[in-house]
Amino acid sequence: MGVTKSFGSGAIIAHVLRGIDLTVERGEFVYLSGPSGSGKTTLLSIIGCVLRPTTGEIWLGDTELGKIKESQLARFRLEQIGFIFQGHNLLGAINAEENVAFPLRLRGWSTGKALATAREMLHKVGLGERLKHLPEQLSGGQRQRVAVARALAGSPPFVFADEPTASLDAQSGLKVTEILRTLAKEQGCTVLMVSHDSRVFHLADRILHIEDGLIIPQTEHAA
Amino acid sequence: MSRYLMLFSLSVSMLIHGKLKTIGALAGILFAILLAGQQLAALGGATYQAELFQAKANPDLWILPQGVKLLGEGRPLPETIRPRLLAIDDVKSVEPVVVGASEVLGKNGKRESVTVVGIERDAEGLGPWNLVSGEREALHLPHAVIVEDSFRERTGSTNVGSIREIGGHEVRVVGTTWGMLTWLPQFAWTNPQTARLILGMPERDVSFFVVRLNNPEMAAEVQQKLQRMLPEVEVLTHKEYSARVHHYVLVDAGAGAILLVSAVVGLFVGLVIVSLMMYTSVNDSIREYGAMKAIGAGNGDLAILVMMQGLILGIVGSFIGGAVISWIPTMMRAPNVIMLMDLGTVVQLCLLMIVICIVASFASVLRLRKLEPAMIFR
Repeated sequence: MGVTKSFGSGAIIAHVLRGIDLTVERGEFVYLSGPSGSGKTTLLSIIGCVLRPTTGEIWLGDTELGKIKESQLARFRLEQIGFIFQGHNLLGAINAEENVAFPLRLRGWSTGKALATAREMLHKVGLGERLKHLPEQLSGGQRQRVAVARALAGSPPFVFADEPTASLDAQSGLKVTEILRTLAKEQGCTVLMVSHDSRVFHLADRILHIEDGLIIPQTEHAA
Repeated sequence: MSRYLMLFSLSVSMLIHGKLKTIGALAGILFAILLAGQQLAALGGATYQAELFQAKANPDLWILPQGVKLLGEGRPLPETIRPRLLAIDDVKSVEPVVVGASEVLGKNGKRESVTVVGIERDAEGLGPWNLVSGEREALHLPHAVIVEDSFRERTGSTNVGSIREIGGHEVRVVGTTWGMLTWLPQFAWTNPQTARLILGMPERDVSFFVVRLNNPEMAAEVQQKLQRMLPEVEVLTHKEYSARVHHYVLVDAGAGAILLVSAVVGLFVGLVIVSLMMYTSVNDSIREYGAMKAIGAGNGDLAILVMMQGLILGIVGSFIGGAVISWIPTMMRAPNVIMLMDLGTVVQLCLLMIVICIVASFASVLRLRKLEPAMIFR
């Protein structure tokens, strides 16, 4: 509520978010679209707890993010949020299975349980045959599917995706988004996805448009 | 535990994945260990050489002119004190030794420094050691010498029976030693009379005495007794004299400082190389680290991850380096180059290198502490 974010100070201050009021229902699959520089990635960073707002209140479920200490934010992200980045940002030194198991093992899961869950997730995203492949041995679409599996493996209540289809061709982009939507719905997970890829808009429950740091509600889909 | 195992396994994978940088870092560690190891081996060799005579002779007590560090220094002692020493209870034997610097006329008329050592026929355990030709008994013939064969190239023939000139006096070679190299110039062993003749010392003067006791455990007690009886000389236990020589080589003569500084420089170079390699590696993968932070890895996790890489590099590099430097003394073995590296020193050097590698990761840890997870969205 009333979220603002400014960078810089004095004469060179930039007001990137200028009072965002936004509510996303539990289990919703929401797109956030808008032109470059409109503030959508900044908003995602703030909701994703990797950036603090200048003013305003943000609630993720029952937790007000402003009340979480800096030292506890990493743990909160680990347990509550799954991320999918624009570039897949998988760890290049380890294989697909280990990449998916990474956040689970950070949470303290046993190796066996984490790897079993990782394998299950990779099967679900259609990469059951690519468990031991390094990211560099996978195509762009496959890497992004591994990123989807990694984001959802620990069944986090929230998944935030930053233009995950931006570097993919139409078919791969559609497939990745469909998989993300299907799995998120299965797990009852709330997804906020930054995208201006109109090819996948039909998969959203709701599309929010952001411009000049303000949200303009546009369309609703009955998916 | 699973978390630490995962971070360890990820560290190994990252090192294998970035193999060129890993090889570069390992080369840096190897270089540092070799440089430091070579200097420490040289220091070990210098210490060994400085104490060689003392260690081989290994008496219970030394009777020396005041303040003597290296053998042959100081004003000679009168041999007349020998009966007084022998009169003390517990004293088993007192052997006089005449030592001094001279020159041997070498090849092409060039003179080489020698240390003339005169010992009595029945002196117990007083060299010449490492005898490879000739007989010790022959040493007590007039003008007989036993010389170091490894200096043959510089001093000319050392064949038994050959005639050499030491200190302007003709002497006959009756035997040779091999590898008897000390801090002093090469030894030329002879009898006390010939030694005095070469060194121009008065009859019945000696350089020092070595004393053996019936009961070596009484050394401290007898030392006090002798010191009271002979205040003009210095009576030292074997341990005290070895420590004095050790201190002289390492501190007074500056050899220790020079070699230790070189060893420290070697280790510092290793620190810089490993630190730079790790920092570059972290910078090259900065988006991966950013992703880890965004996903929920804390600063502590990333610090452990990077320090584990330092630890692994240190262990692997030290293992290889330790194996190589253990061979240094063998590889560089020559009669006039003594390199000594005991297992304890190798282990200590390797442990130090491991610590250095962990320290080398600190720059990368600091870089990651400042890394904003939001960078992953840019």
